[in-house]
Amino acid sequence: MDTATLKSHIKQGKFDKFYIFTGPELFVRSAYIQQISKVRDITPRTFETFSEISRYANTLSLLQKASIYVIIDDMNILSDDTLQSVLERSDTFKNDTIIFVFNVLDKRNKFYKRFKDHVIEFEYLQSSILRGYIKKDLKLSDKGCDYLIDVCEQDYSRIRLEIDKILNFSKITGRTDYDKILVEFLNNGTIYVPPKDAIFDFVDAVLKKKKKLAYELLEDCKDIGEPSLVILSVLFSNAKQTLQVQSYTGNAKITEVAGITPFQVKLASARRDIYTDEQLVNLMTLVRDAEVGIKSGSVEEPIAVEYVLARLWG
Amino acid sequence: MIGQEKLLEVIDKCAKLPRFIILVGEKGSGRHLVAQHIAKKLSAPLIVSEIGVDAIRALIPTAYRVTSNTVYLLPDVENMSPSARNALLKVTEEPPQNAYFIMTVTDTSFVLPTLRSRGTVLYMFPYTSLEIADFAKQHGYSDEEVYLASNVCSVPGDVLALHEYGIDEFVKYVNLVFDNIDKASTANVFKIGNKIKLKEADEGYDLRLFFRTFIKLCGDNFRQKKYVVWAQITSKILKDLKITGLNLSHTFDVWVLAIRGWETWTPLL
Repeated sequence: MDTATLKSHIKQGKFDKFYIFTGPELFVRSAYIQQISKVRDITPRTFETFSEISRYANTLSLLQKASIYVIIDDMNILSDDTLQSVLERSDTFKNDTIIFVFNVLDKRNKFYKRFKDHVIEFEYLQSSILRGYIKKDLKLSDKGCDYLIDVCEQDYSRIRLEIDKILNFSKITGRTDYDKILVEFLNNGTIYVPPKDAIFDFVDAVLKKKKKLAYELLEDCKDIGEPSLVILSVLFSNAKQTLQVQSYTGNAKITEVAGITPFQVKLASARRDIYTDEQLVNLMTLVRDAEVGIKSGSVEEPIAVEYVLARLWG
Repeated sequence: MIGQEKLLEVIDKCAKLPRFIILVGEKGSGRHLVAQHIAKKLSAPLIVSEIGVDAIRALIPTAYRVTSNTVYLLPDVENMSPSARNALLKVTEEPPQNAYFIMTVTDTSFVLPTLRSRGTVLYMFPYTSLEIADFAKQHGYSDEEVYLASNVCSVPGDVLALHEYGIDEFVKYVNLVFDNIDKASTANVFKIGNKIKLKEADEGYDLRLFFRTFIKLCGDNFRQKKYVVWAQITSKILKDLKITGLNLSHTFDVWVLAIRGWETWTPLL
């Protein structure tokens, strides 16, 4: 299901028995829940599992008003056929609306496949759309908008928080030079610039062939106790995305063809053509060989990543 | 029980069955059926236990309280946590009077040495292709299913899985991959794994069955060198699937890339 269909349900006031919200864009997701709540004039109740509301619903009287149930990251229902069958039954929760919220939902999961018509994915909004939203509230230049989008990693919830800070400051001081305020806030820490993820930085250095930096960042990863298998797994997926992006020559959107997000495409594009396709394939094979080695005991886990880098770069 | 006549004979001839049995065999090889046979011999109920540490800790005092023969089955012990395995040690030190324990496992290396030394290890016999074919015939499967099963299945569980998939659908899918894996774009090609169970919570075809069927298709086309190499690549990766905890997604992706780059593939490692 796409957001346009959901919007039409909201407009008509006719809702499906349940929806499945997923994707990283929290603000938009929450906004839709609020809209549904407003149209139905019901305050949503939050639960952790579908089992809980099953039990809760069974204790209600027949005259009970309709409800909106918001169930966040219920891992049980993902593999429980019985619960899924209860959800499907037409007599379950007749007048209610159930909204499952999953921060991450694998498309190969059987729950996803069974109910994919009810899934709405809220991906991070594209930069062009975010710029439009930012400019509605704050007169920032394009460059300022891009800077803010980058620092907040395209997360609109975070962008809104930072916009509020700037607007509050402007209200108190009377200043309206928003681009300058943004820079000052970034420099003095008022706007939170998250510490770079150690593994992300390491993987970025490897894929940009910054060898010395990669080894240094690998030490950082180990200092904070990141297991080799996790590092290798992230390296594998990023190498794969880089390969997909740099080898793609078609006309359709790469995000649809390869099933990767716009943010991943952006990252991969910044790493393209540093390795040839064959070298990226080799890297993925080396990573996988290291994983097999760790699991079978032929490669020592603590040095598995160095093993890959040594074979990659010689 | 096709293929395990000798094992059942050993069990039947045993005057006094051990209290702690480690039953070793592949998933789908019929270990549960053997456990049922043991329970029947003892005129005991077979209780399948969960293998989480809490379940094991709850099980042990219960086992000491039972007043008549009871068989507890602990399936797939390779997935058991170290704390759960340690919790089982008590049962092997002072076995309860009326309780019998059967652990099923794919390899004895997953069993703590202490547990292994206190238990009796029984191995499932490997199935021949004739036995697999007989199993499929016994279940009334079509000639086509019997033929495919005898070529690609190593255990009866695989035969049942093949039937559940629908042989036409499954073979059609493998053929589709076979025909297109080296034609699709690199950006797109990894999606061919979408119908394969690459994670625990996924639905889809068993990866081993998929690979074996793919190898069979290669075998049907052995006149071309490409397919000989494809079969070699797939066989090598298939051997790796015996390693527990392997990342199947990565394994599948690397297989795809190796197949597409077959001309430069070298069977090292």
